[in-house]
Amino acid sequence: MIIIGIETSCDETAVAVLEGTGDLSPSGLNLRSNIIASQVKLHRQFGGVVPEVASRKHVETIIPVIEKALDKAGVTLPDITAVSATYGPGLVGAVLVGLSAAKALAVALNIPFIGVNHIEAHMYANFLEHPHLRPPFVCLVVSGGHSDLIYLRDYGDYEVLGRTRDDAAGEAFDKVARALGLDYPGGPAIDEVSKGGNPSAVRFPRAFLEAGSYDFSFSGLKTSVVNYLAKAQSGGEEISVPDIAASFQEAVVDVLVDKTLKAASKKHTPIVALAGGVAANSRLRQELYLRAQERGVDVKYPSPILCTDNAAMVTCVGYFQLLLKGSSPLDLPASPSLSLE
Amino acid sequence: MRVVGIDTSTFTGGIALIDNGQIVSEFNAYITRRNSEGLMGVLDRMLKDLDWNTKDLEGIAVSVGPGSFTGTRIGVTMAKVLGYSLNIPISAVVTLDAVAANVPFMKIPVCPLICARRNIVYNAVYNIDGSDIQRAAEYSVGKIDEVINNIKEKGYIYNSEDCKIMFLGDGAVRHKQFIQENLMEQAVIGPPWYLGPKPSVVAIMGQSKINAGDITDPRDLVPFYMGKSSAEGT
Ligand SMILES: [Zn+2]
Repeated sequence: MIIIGIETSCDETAVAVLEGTGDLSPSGLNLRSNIIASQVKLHRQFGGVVPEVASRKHVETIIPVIEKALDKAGVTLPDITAVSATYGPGLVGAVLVGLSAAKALAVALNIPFIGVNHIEAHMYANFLEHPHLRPPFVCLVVSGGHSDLIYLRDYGDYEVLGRTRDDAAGEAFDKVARALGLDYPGGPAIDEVSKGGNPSAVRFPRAFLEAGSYDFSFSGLKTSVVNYLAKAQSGGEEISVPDIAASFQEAVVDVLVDKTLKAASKKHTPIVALAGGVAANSRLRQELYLRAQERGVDVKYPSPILCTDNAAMVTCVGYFQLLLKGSSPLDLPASPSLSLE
Repeated sequence: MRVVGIDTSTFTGGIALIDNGQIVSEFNAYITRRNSEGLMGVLDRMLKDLDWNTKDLEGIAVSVGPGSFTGTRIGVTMAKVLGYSLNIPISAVVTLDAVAANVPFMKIPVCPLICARRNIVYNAVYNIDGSDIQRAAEYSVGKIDEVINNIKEKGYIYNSEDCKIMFLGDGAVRHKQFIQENLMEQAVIGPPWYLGPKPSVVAIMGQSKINAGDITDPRDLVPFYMGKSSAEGT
């Protein structure tokens, strides 16, 4: 079984090819190619993703990226068994490019089409690198667009335990990075500069919200960083960018790790997984690993290339979904605010 | 020659199949973007009804705008991936040309108006001589009042014996009152079945272009965005 996957929900045009045995298990999966054409440079001049610019670029790039993915995988179009694509959540105009491409491929090749949820895909990136990982487990999906804490009961069976009430974690990183005069995207920039800073320099507020809640809130934290900077500036105070970045990052990581581990104990699962762009954050990985170890909880996360938006994860969901539920209708609409339940 | 025609560039969304210049199947829906997203399912159904295989298709024609950016990208992406994966030629048809081609043998000039935003319209003027439809003005984009003033000044109206001009496109519907107040009886608003681009017309125009060697590589096919830089957004 060979599945091609397409991902265009934000600013990466990505296509991947996955080979599977047809068993409902990650152990026989073989990722044959994973091509990502990043638009980061294009959007850097605007300080963030401009939806119309992203959509235009997807149209220009989609065929060359498909060609490259096939070439790298060593397969040709007639070898493909099924095609999967993200249909949400994401920027609607961007999603529509990959989704329309996938539907056209399905009709041209007379093969099944599978519409994939982008958040589900992020979680499934873990299966690609941890072939012995099995549900159930708790997964924290954190990126520029989402911060969700999910209980993955079984393939295709999820319970959303918590989500952000305002900014996504990655969004907070971007905004604080901009306030600190750091590069876009903010996540990697803050991660890097924080390595030379003191995470206890400033005690920024942690929004744990009401007791028992697994929801997140990062806009208050962002505001307090901005206020802190403004106050320091007006007082002519010298500020240390590494210290503030590290202190901000510490506040984000503290809340993420705390809630993820609480969710794991609530669900009595000995495994937690990370997913999404922010899952590449070195401090988050380290802190989660340390605090999970104390409780005897195992931590899984994908390598950075599978944390960022990619199509390998879309092929992985496509594979399981085809086996479990069959194909999706060819009129499946793009769903910009698609949720998991 | 079996050609598929796709149009998703305006308020309509449709797909058609032609066989040696004859329309054999056509679907067009005058509603929201939703139906454009389902066009590949419609094509699948049409092919099954005709007992055709995708391998029987020999060419693709697609309207590339100007029109809705997001809408046009749906059809353009479908066309380029079909053309690429079936390895057949693709021809790009300008939506304004496709709308003008709805009315051959019209004895007066026609001006398709396609809505951009608010009171902005994409437009061009065509002179018609039998089945020969010649564009008489550059494709342009502007405010409706400027477009109407320009038509008056350039005297296109006097290209016909009875001094009239016909307006087509969704812009003709939206700005009907304004047009009639300004041009009085010299303005004719086309009947509803002439107003939008038709996928069958796009297919037939595309077939002529393919025969003339006017084709676009699937990698290079992009919508015809007019007048607005990409950074400004929709
Ligand atoms: Zn993502």
